Amino acid sequence: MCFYIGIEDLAANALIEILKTKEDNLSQYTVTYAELEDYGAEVVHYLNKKGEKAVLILSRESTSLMLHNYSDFFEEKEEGTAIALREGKTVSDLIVRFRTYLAFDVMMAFMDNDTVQVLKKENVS
Amino acid sequence: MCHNKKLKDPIYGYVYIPVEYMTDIIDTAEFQRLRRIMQTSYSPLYSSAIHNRFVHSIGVFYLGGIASNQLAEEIVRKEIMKKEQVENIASVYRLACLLHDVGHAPFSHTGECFYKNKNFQSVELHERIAELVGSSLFAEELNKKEAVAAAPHELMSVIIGIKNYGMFLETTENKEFFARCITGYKYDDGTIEKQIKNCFISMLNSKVIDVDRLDYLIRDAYITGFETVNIDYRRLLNALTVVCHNNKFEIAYKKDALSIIENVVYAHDAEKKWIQNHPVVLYEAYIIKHIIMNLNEKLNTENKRLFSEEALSREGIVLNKKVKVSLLCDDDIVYLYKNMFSDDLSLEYLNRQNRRHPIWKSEAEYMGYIDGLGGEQLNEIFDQYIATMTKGEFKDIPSFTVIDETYIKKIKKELTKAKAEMKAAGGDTRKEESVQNNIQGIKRRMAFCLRLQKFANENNMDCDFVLLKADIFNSNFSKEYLGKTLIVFKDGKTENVYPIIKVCSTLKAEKMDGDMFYIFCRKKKDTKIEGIKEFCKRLYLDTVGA
Repeated sequence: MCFYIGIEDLAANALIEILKTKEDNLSQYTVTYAELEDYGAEVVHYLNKKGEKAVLILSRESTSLMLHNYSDFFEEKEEGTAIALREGKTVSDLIVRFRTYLAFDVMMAFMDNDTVQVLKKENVS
Repeated sequence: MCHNKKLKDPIYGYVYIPVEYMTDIIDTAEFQRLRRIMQTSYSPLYSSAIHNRFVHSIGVFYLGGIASNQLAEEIVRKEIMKKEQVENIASVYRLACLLHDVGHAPFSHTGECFYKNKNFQSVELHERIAELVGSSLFAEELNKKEAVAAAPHELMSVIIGIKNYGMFLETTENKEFFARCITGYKYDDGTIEKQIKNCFISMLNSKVIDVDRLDYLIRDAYITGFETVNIDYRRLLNALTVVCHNNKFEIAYKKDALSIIENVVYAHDAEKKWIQNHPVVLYEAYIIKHIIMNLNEKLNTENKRLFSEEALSREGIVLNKKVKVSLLCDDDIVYLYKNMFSDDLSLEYLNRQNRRHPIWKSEAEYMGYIDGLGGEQLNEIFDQYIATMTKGEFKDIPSFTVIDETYIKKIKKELTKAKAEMKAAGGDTRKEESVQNNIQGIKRRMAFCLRLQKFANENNMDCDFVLLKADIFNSNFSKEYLGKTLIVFKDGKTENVYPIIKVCSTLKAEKMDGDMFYIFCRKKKDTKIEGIKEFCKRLYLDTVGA
């Protein structure tokens, strides 16, 4: 079986990891597309080590779709180079929407300490 | 003296082809390859649907000739451009009509997604086009097209077209226009010439009416025997004109075409709803994609791919395991999976006795049995769950999750692991929250699969199911771009121009949101499946209640 990891999964899980210890003004924190690519590569690496195949779906088309389909969760910032959580949404909202139906191994990949390290160090506890 | 050859077409009669096109394009191996590419994937439903991309390309060339002659005449008559100038544009347009599918993949649309790279991007295809066209400005524009990329077969057709038949295009300008005709990448409206070129582009690549769509709608109905509305293509194309609307030259149709435009939309809706979205056709595509993915896994290396420009050429390419392919077509795929790389699913393609069958057979049945069973909140849970279960089917990427005893065991193991992780969370509240939600998701998956298992037992069949996502049908009458089609009413010497939505009452269809899915099962011979309504209700309630 092959896991398909969309940009929306990467964005959501990256933001969960970045924001999980933050209290207020969550929308000020961002994750860049470059960081998401690195994060995704680490997630794939983690899953490969567990003997699982995974493919990242990263393209401008998929990004446009994400911003359209999940416009209630995400907005672009920093002149279109980064993603942030929309005001009014919480980390719990992200967890319910994006971690409930993930395959367990994929969720663990997103939460693993080594994969999370590639996200902005000052934002990750 | 006649410089044309003629081909007989069952729909249009004689199609006249310039001699040089016949000898230097149509007779070449790269174009003849299209005889071995099936036009549609409808043959599981309509056995006669065995027409190929070759006849379709000739048909589009024919209709493109009518359209371009009419447009050129109108443009000259209205003194928008000089005859010689518009004739050059029309000539490139007609060449694009002939070659618009020359790069099509085996099994047509089912196979074309494999032209993209491993991240499902069209970057390399755009780069190759930029290289062949040779315009830095166009290259810059293509670099920004990923989000609105043309279909992969269109990009490949531009590549094969310019690479093999560029001598007919001569200039960079013509090559760029040729590429734009096939991809639908219009010019930014600037000069009158660009606006007129955009008019021609929209007659080959449009969301509403173009010669490509016209031919396949007429041809598919004719060959399959599918009873649909008649399309008077001559009346439609002879009603073409160009108007200056909102300070820009655009395509418009004289009022004579109104009824035909409606018929085109009806015909397109019918084909889409009753054939393209039929579960049997969807399942056929699922099997073919699986077969191709299997072949790619066995044959592709880092630098050499089965679905590539090289594989479409005469010289061909040598892949992994010393397999050589050239002028890639349906036959190559069939040979490879039948004789070298077969598996259960590819054998299912050959032997229909063993094929899975849809439990419900139409969108209407789905709407009756499942849609709206619970309230809004429960529907949202169910919809999200189904979206995840069919997740692999992002755009063209097929999901191969088979729900069987092995899969159910896998979910049970997943639940055990998740519960263990919950115990080990050690007070990390966010981790606990994540795992707790994930456990709920696993339980829903489990409930869904166990209900399928029970259904299999009740109907004396193996627990062996496949889920395929499908789009809810949306009529083209509800599409915004149709409403913008311009209609001309002549009043003496004055042309009164209106968007069709203003003058045509049919354009009131409501847009439907959402997806649906089909479940395919392996029912035994002579077994009639019963209790579908109750099964669907139980499936829904078990999943949302877990």
